[in-house]
Amino acid sequence: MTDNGDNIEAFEAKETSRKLPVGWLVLFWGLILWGIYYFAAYSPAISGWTQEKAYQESVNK
Amino acid sequence: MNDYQYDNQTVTGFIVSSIFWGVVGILLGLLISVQMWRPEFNFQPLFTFGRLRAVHTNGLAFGLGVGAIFGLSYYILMRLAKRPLLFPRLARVQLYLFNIGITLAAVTLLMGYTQSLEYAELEWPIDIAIVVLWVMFAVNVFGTVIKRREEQMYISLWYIIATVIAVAVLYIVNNLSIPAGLFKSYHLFAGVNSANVQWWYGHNAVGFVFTTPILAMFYYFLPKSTGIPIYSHRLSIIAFWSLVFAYLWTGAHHLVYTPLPDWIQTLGIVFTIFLIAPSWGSVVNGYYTVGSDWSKMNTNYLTKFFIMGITFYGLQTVQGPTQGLRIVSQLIHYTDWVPGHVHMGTMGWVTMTTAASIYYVIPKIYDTEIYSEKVANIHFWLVLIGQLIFSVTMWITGIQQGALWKAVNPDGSLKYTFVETLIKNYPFWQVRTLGGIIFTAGMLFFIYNIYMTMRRGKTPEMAKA
Amino acid sequence: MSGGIYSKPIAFAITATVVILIGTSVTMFYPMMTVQMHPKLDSLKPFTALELAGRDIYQREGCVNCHTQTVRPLKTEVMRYGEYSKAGEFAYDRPFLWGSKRTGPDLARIGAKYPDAWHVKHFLSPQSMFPQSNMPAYAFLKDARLDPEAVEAHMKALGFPYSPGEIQALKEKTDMDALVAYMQVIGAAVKKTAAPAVAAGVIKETHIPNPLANDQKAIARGAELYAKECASCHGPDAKGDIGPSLVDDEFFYIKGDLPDDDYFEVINNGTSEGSVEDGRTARGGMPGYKDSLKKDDIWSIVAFLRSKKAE
Repeated sequence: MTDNGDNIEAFEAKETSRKLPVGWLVLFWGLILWGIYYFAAYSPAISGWTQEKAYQESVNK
Repeated sequence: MNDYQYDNQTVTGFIVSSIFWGVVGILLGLLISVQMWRPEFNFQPLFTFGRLRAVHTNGLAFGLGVGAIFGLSYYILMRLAKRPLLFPRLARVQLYLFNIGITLAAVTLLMGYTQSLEYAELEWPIDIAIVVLWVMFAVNVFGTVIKRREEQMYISLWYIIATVIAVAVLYIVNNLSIPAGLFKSYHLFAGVNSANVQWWYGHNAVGFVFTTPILAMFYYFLPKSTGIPIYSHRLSIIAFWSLVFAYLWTGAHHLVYTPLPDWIQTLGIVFTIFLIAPSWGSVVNGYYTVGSDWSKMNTNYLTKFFIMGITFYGLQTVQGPTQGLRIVSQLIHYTDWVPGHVHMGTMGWVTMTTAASIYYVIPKIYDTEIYSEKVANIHFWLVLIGQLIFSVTMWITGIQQGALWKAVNPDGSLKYTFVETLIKNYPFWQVRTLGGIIFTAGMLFFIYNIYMTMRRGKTPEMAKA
Repeated sequence: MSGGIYSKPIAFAITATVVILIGTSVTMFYPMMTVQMHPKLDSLKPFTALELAGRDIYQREGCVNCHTQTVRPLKTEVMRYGEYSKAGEFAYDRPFLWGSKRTGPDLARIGAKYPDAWHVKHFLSPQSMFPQSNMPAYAFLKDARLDPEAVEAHMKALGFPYSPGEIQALKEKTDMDALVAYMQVIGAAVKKTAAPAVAAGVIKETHIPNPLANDQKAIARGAELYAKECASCHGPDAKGDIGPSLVDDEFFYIKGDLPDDDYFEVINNGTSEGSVEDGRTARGGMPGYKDSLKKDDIWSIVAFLRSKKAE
């Protein structure tokens, strides 16, 4: 057996605090903003939306 | 280095056990896939779809999945801690108890002893055995990590620790029940509350059995087999913490449009969509790592397993969140779309990554080379094709079902009776069985390759440091 | 990189635990402590011993793997199954059995939709009623007797009220009886919204005749629909089976013909116990086809049955 212990350096690039990919950062913050919007839009206490009301509207259409 | 040999035998024991339960679970999967379109393949009372489905899911999640997780986590743990397991005999007892537990689980489920909670079907005596098993695992993980001979804990250890903690909390809370007999109990929680607790558990069982421990394997075996370090440590940190934070909020996406309060559903959907970001953090990290030298895809046969695995993880973690949205859930919830989704995760991501990790570990333990890269490549292509056939047919028929259920005539009445919508699935279900057969064939090549590698290599007792 | 919590396993584990418990607390523990998670309709009753035994069998056989028990508030879903599910219906459901897959239809509104005999026939052989169904047969349930002691222990564990006589009576019951009793109580707390065939007690002054009467094409279409939708209960020759004969001269236990438009309304709306059809009293058990058949289709069935009776 030659492989009983690992040096952690082998797993991590020398410059380990690389910048985060820009595309990924946009995704990360974009999803948080979208989440705030969606929560507000579909919370009875904030927007008044409820699934029952949505159902009644679809029936009355 | 006799200590390592003993522990390596335990690791091998878990791997072999998990492959055995994997074969049982996959073959049962084939049988129940046939039952979907040929009801006479139900053999009452023990071998009906209603009972076998739980044996299939539990056999694969706990037998194949958790068995492999125990074995491979111990392998990773020893190497990152630079020491053997702190309690080697405890791990060996855990291996025996694991096999007894899964056997009892399969038998009791066939007998109809079930809590009717998805992925928590097992009745209370077996739940207690599973908690004992998990405590054994936790004791060894924490003990070995605390007594480690390397200052830093690598990412894989973070994911293993998170798995140990989260599964313990989830499993204990959701299995709280009122015993009413030796193999009968009733959920401590009732109605809407029962549903909320169950899906908080159910979705996080996916998160902390099929995601975090598999990411631990991915972050360890990808750099090991390619020799390339992980692209960004910082990305690993952010992805880890945002993943373990966000996962626990998301269970309610299984309960969209049920009587569960609207705000819990909405919160569940919001965090489900957010999960795309941490999941893709690992996907991006994986791609950029191999991206520094794409020739590894050709020169190292394991690289393509890991890259294909993480690709399915990436697809899975976009598709899954999308399904949570109300507009999508309306159409595809309760249809075959969902099994299509689940099987992309389990057959594409989990099995692909786990098999590759086993390909890496077994030759190391047996001090030899893999028996045949060619057989591994055949395995790769068969499981890939089988899984794609499975998932794609299920997505098509799922959308079709959802649309037929909603279809109305010009005068406003429903266009199709339920049976009319059912029979349109049959051709797709037949193709699904075919996909399953191809996948199973691929797995047989895998097992053959592992078996021959073991035969060729030195036994763990003979291997010298 | 020097450490922080990444070199201190205990600190790391505690941090991870806290992070995991935040979402858990907000979405699971906190709601549990509020009344909104423990609603109960006034009309909801605990399960009787026989019904609970049936529910246990429903669990044992894994029915939940193919059948849901929750109707979503979506237009076509309410049309197909009935009133959407209310949170207060499930207070005695331990665990909830909403399910996650509809290989078979939703069952939240199956209670009182069909007579008991329909369920027995269907469990014995689903294919005898729906030839292309993929549901396994559950004939073995009729040969298995209930264990009254076990059922009593289950009732005690759940704290449901029961009488000794109720437990005694279980001795004579089979698994099939219990499962059917459970089927019939699912959704019982929510009133059926289906209207009676005609407004109770109203006797119509004038009747509308069948616009498709004696139309050969309609009769042929009616025959086809009858075979598909009606024959499993009323028999292939309409001479009666689970439901009454449709070719004799009796409607709702009274001799004499049923006017065309009343016939239409019976098929359209179904019947429930006590509903009155021009002075006739129904015993219930006929499902309505308003949402699954077009008006012309229903008239076609009426035309077919008239022609059949004339034969």
